[in-house]
Amino acid sequence: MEGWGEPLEGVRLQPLTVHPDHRGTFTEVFRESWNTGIELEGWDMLSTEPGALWGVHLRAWSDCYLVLLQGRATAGLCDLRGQPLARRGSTVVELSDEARVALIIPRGVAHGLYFHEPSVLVIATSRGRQPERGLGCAWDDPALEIPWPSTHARLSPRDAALPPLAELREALAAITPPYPGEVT
Amino acid sequence: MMPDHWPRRSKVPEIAGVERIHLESHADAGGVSTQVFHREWQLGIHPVQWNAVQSEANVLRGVHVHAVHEDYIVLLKGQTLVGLRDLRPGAPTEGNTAVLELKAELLEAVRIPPGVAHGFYFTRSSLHLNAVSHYWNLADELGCHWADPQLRLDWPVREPLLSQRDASAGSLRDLVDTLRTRLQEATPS
Repeated sequence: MEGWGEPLEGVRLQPLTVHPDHRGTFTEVFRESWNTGIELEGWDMLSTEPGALWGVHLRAWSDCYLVLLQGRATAGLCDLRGQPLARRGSTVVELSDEARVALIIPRGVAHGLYFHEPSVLVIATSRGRQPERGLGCAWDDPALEIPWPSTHARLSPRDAALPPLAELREALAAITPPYPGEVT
Repeated sequence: MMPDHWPRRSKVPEIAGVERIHLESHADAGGVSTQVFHREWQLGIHPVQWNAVQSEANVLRGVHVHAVHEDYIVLLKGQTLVGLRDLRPGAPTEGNTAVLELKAELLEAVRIPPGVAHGFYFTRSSLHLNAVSHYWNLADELGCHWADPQLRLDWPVREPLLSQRDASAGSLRDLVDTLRTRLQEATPS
């Protein structure tokens, strides 16, 4: 499949084709033959209410494949790859069930989603070389420089307790995961 | 012995090989999260393709059967009845039928092996994931008319919304003959 460009280096948007008829819709969400470059092993579903925010999370060893099946959301991304550890760029990507895409997030890119409507999100993850440690940081840390559409959000207890970005950077520095293109 | 964090599985006694996977959800202020599939669960299926299917209330999809590919169904929203009929020659439950009710509030997955005919009647507007073990292939898309009395599936509806293909599907008798040939072709010699 052809992608729709890269909001950040390595972050990809894959357009998905929705086939509607009088019964509903049918969408191929993922095919191994699409050569996305990631081998998915786990699939999760998230059902949220308006005003909920999921994240900000970071996977050090595995990649994410996200598809919003219902609703509307803003994905916030902050690239924390590279040595020395630095914030290499932040952006937001708008997701809607009216223009269905798969958002591919490589390991090392911190990410969160703010939901504008009741939404259903599927999150698939690739096999990692090591188990993930539940890394993340506070979604509203100004150092993330993510232009969220709201200053308030409903969070899970886990996300509400996430540390500042500075602590996430320290945790990343301690595990120093190798990213594509780096000498390990 | 399965690790504690793997979901509980239960067999559908009427039809050998059909399994319900009882998924565990976690609710909090951010919403409800559920792990719907993981390769380490050793379910015996390696999906190569995932599809999302949205259905209006009163839609019936089926009755379909495959000689090759296996289905893994997860109802994310809504409610459906899954009608099943074992068409595998020589299977211990050959000829048996079952109707399973799936509700999104009780998140479950259902694994349907090749040779087991299945149809879905959506009693509410619904959204489900359908993971398949082989890529879509027209030759493996077999079916019969949902209301064929020989199916012995007691659907609670007389006029469901159907696709053109499902509305004009043939008889169970013809399907059994075709499936038998396809199953023989699909069986390694």
